[in-house]
Amino acid sequence: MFERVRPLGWVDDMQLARRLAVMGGLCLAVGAVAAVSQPTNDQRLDERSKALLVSYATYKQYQSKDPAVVYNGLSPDRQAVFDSIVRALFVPIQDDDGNPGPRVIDFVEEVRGIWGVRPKQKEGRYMFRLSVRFGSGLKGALEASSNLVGSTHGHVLLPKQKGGDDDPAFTQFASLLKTGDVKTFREATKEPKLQISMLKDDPAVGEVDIDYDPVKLLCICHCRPSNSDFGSRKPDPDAHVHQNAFNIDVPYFSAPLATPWSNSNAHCKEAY
Amino acid sequence: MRAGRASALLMFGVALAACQATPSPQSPVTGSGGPRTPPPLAADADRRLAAEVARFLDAWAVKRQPHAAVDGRASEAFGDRRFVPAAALSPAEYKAQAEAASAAASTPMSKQAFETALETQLGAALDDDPSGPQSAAPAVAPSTSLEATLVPFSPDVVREKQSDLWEHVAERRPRALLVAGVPSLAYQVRDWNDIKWTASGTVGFRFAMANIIRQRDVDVQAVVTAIKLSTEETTVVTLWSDEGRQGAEWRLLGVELPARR
Repeated sequence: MFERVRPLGWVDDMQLARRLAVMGGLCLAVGAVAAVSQPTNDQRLDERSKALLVSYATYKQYQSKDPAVVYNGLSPDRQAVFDSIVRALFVPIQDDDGNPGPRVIDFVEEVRGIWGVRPKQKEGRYMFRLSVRFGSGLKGALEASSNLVGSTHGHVLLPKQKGGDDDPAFTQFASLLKTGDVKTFREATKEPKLQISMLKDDPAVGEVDIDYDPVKLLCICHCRPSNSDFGSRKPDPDAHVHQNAFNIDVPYFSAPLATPWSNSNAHCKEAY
Repeated sequence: MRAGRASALLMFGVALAACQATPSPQSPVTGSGGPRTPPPLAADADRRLAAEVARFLDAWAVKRQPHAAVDGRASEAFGDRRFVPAAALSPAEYKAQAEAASAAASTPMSKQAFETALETQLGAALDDDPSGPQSAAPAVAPSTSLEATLVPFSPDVVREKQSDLWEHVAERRPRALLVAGVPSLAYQVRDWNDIKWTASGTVGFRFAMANIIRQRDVDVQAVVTAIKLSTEETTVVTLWSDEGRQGAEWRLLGVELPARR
């Protein structure tokens, strides 16, 4: 009888079955490993928050780089700024059809300034924001996105290594504020809106804030502040509008953000 | 060139049709735009548009009458819940609408309901909040004329003084539009890319506008005006639809106050 010539790589049925079984097992194993190793947003939030606090402590040359120590060293309003903005940075960058891509937080390398409330300071661009360093690729990703769109009136509040955001007496904001040659992106189809700004000639240097309230023609309460002030609210019995809106707008985590800081004195511009 | 507009022009003769080949209507008031004679119909449409913008801004920003500003003036072509501005919705309603809009779900609404939504937004922008501090002064002084309230905002002015805005609108070939005698910026809107610099919260602009423009053969124009506030200037963007009537009328489909902070 003729012996069947087997081409190179040919396998008989049993061999094929065994190989498929092995491959299937491998796939299952890989899938299981992937499922286990893929962190949840909550885990990512915890990990990124800690890493960014370490980066902040490193930049500020604090003695302790322990994230818990650094966080507890922040005043409650600065804790609220940090917590809310880091959460908001989990927004996915969407393509033209609204399909989600990488998250903005994936491009944030360092936090270098955590700017809280400034009593008697009426310029909103000096408070309630993070000074950050972005990784490469963010500018291009945002320029190609449909939900974080290029806009106008950008501003970058530069960090200050000694003093500045962590000095309650600091007032030299004008020397740190850049408004010219700034590229800014705002979150469309969302209220409140994340705003991401970066220097045109050095896109690694940037600032992030959240605009909670739409522009008004009459400025009775919200005019210049009301940026990123997650914890502020109008006097009782007013509802905590910013906090509620934020948690609806930033739904990426298992639990809503509860502010460590709530203040009705720092809400309207006249209160500053 | 849109088929509906071309058909209308053919009825007026070859000469007018040739004029209409200019892709965007040129304003007769540009001043620095050269000697080109604007197409008569386009100029007429621009005059009507300018008059409607002036009427709207006078009622809303000067007289502070949101109802009068929109009464009978809202677009029917865009009468859809996706075009309800965020300021007219609670945060939960807004989130639900954003999710529905991204799924391209059309939810038609009556013209009256759409007008009410726009009126709510316009009222909120005036922010007559009685709980606010008593010492707060209105940003727009009442009883001034619209002419005194508007700041010249022609393409030349924007190019020179607001380069970050010019970056976003230059390629839209904006033209000057005389609103209450003051030059403002106007340009045709075809899709979200044309107005996304406003970072509008209105989900329909991003997810539904382009399809409606194509399907209903409407011309949409953005008019960017600058309003003088007590301490600074703010930009007001109004969006207008000709409802497929070749510029014979203009109906409001959106109002944007782009953030300046």
